Amino acid sequence: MITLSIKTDSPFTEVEVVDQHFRTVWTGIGSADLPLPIGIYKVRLGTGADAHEELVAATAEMSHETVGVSPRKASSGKQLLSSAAPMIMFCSTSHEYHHYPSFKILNGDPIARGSGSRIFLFLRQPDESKSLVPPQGISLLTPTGREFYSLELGTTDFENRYSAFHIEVDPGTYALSVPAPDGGSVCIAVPAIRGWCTQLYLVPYMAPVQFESFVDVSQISMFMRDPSFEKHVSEDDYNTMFQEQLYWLEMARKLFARFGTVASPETLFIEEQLPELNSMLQNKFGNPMLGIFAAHLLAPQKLISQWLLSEVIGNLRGLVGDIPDVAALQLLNPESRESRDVLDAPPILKASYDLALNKQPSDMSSGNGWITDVADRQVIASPYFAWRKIARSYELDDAAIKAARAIMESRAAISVSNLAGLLNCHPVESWLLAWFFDIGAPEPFPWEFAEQMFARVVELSATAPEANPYIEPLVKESRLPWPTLITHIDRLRSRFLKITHIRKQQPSTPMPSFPAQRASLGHHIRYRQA
Amino acid sequence: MPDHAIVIGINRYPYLQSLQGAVSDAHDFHSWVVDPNGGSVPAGNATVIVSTDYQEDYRPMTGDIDQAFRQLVSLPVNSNGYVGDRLYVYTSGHGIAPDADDSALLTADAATDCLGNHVAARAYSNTIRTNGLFEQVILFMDCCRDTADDFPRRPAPFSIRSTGLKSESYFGFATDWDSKARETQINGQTRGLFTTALMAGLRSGAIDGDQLDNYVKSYIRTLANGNNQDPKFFSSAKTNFHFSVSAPPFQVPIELVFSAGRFGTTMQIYDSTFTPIRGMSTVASSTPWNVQLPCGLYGLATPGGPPIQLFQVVGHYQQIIRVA
Repeated sequence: MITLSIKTDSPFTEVEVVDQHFRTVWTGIGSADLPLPIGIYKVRLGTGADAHEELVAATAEMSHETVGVSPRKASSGKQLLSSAAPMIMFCSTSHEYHHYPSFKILNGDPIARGSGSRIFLFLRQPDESKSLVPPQGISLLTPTGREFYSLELGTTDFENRYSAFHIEVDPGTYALSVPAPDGGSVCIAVPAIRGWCTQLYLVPYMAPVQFESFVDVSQISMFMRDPSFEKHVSEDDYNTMFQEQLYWLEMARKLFARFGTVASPETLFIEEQLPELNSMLQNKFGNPMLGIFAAHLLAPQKLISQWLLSEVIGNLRGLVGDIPDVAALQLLNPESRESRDVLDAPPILKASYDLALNKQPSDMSSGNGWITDVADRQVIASPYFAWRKIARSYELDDAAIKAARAIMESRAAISVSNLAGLLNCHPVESWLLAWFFDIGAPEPFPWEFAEQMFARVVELSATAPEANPYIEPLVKESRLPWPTLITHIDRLRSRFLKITHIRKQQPSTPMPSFPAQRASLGHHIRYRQA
Repeated sequence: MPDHAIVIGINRYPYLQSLQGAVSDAHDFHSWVVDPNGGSVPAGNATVIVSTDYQEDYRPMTGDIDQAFRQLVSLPVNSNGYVGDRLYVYTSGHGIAPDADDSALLTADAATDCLGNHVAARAYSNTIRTNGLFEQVILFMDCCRDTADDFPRRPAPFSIRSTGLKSESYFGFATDWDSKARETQINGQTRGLFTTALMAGLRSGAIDGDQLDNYVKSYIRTLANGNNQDPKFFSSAKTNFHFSVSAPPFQVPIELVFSAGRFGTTMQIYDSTFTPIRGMSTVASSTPWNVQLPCGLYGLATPGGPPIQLFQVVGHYQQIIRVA
C-alpha cells in the first residue's frame, strides 16, 4: 500500500479518486491521505465550476512517500478562483488598477443619503480586451421597490473599466437591482447594518445572444466590513490584509452557488477541515458574512455543538442584529425558537429562506410583507435569495375570456398546460392548476367545479392553519409561503368566475366533498368532472 | 421479465433554435438498447419518439410523449409484481432544469415564452419508481439544464396504482444544473457530447453504474475540448446497475507519437498495476506506434524503468498520444 496525499488547500474542493477500471475508490471534500494499492489513479478536483483532473502513479518505490495533487495555484499556494471580490492574491482576474480605486473610494467620505450604515458597490470589467459598458439599470431600491440610488450617479472610469458608489444610508434592508438579458431586472437583498459597510463587487458578463453586458447575480461578492478599516491601513496593506477571509468567503459562495442549500450528503465535511471552517467563524467579527456562511455549512451537519452554535448566533446578533439570515439560523437552535416571522424581509442567502421554510413552515402560513410579494418571483440559480423586479402582466383579457367560454360551452378537450396558457396564468397559477387538475391528456375541463373548489380553498384559508389540509402539501411542494399561494388561488378563482359567471344563473354542479385522505397522501389527487 | 424503453429525440423546434444531433443520438441509444449485447430490450418493448417521424414541425408535443408513458404504466404486472425488470428512458433535445436535482425535456412546440411545453422526465421516472412498477428505472437525459424561473411546471400527469415493491433508480444528466449540454461534430456527424460519451461507455464492455459515471465524465472532458460540461449521475446504489453484461471489451485504437529524443529507445506499455502488457513494446521511431487497448489507465516506460508517461484510454475513436 502507498499513501496518496490529496492537498486541496480548501475544505470546499470536491475530490474523487478513480481507479484503472473507472471505479470510484474515494470521494470526499478537502485534503485527505488515502492508503491505496499500487497502481495508476485519476484524481478529479472541483470547486464551483472550476475543475481539474490528473493521473497519478502510485508505484512500489513510493511505498513511504506521498503523492501530492492540487489544483491550479496562486504563488501564495492557494487555489486560484474567478471572483468579483478584491482578492488580488487568489484571483486570476484581479488587477491592482481596480483595487486602488476601490480602496480610495472606500477611504473617502460617502455620499449622504441617510445615516448610520454604508453601502459600497464596485463594478469592474476584468477583461482587458473589453471596454466597460456604461452602467445602466444597476440601482439600489427601497423596500417598496422605489429606486433609491443608481450606479449612474457614481464614479465611472472608462479607461480603467470600473464604476462605483459609496453612500451612507439609514439602516434597513435595501435591494440591488441589476438588468437581466430578458429585459427585466433581478434583485438581491442588501442589508444596511448600523456601524457596518456592506460591500458589493460585481463583474459583467456578455449575454450570448444580445451581445450586451449584464451582471450575473450569483457571481456577486457581498460582505460587510467595519467602515473604519480602510482608514487605518495603507494602500499596500489593503491588498494583502483580509485576503484569506475573502478567499474563504468566495469559496463558500461558490459552494452555495453549486448546491443551493448545503444540506446534501455530497457536501459533508470531514473533521480535518474543521479548523478552516472554525477560522471562518472566528473571522466573522471582521466580516459577519463569513459567520453566516460558516454557520449554514456547519450547523445542519451537526459539526459544531449546540452550545457553540448558540454562541455563534448570539455573536452574529450582536454584530449585525436580527437580520433575516441570522434569525433563520436561530431556528437551528431548538431551545430558542423564534416566535416572530423570521423572514420579515428578504434574506441575503437562498439557504436562509430554505432554512426558514423547512424549520418553521407555520411562519410561512402568515402574511409577512415583502417576502410574500417576491417569493413567487424567485430566481433559482443563485446562492442569494434573488427575485425578478418586474413581473409581466398576467391579466385575463376579453378575448381570452371569450375563447375560454367557447371551449367551456362546447365541452371541448383542453390540456391543463394549454388552459394555463389560454388564461394567461402566472407560473404559480399554472403549477396550481396542474397540481389540482392535471390528468395528462386533454379532457373537457370542469370549469364550474374549478371555480367552486378554488373558492372553497380560499374560504378554508380563513380557518386555523391546522384545519386547512392544503397548507402543508402545497407549501412543501411549491416551496412558497401560503400567503403567496392563496393570493394565486384567489386569482384563479377570479379567472374562472369571469368565465363561468353567465352560468351562475343556473343551478351549479353539486359540490363534491373534499377527500379526507388528500393531506395524508401528500401528493396529487386530481379532480375530474363526472 | 422483459425490459422496456422509451427513447425520445427532438431536433426540430419551430420556435427555438433547432438541433442537429438529437435524433441521431436517440437512434443510437435505441440501437444499443435493443442490442442483445447492449440493453437487451425486446424491440417491441422499445418506443421511439423522434421529431423526424412527424409531419408537423411542432411535434412531438407533451401529449405524444405522455401517451407513451400512459401506455407503459397501464401494462399489467407480472408474477413477481413488477411490470418489468428494467425501464430505460432516454431523452435528447432542448432542456431546462426547474431546480438543482431536476431536468426536463422541452417538447417541439416549446418557445421561450412557452416553456410549459416540457416533459419533466425525471419527475415521470420518479413517479414510476416510487410506485414500484419496475425493479430498476434508468434515465439518461442529453439536454441543457438551463434555469428558467418564469414557467409553469408540469408534474407527472399520470396516476399509477402502486405495487408496493422496492425500486431503484439510476439517472444520468448531460450537464450540471444551470449549464449547457453541447453538440459537436464527430466523424462528420453532429452528435451530443453526453450521448457520444454515454454510448462509448455502454459499448466499452460490461460496465456498472459507477464505472459508467466515471467513464462518461472522463470521456466528455476530452470531447468538450475545454468547454465546461460536467455530467451528473444520481443513484442510491450505482454499483447495482450493470450494463452490456455480455459485451466483449471494446479495443480502442491508439496511436503513440514519440518525440525525437525517444527515438531508438525501447518503450513498454504497462497496465495500471505496472505489469508489462505482453506484446506491447516497441523501439520508438518517427513512425507512430499503433496499438489497441481496452478502456482504462496505462503507463509507458522503458523496460524496468519508472513510468515516463501516464495515459487514459476512453472512447470509440482513434486516440493520439504524444510521448514527450
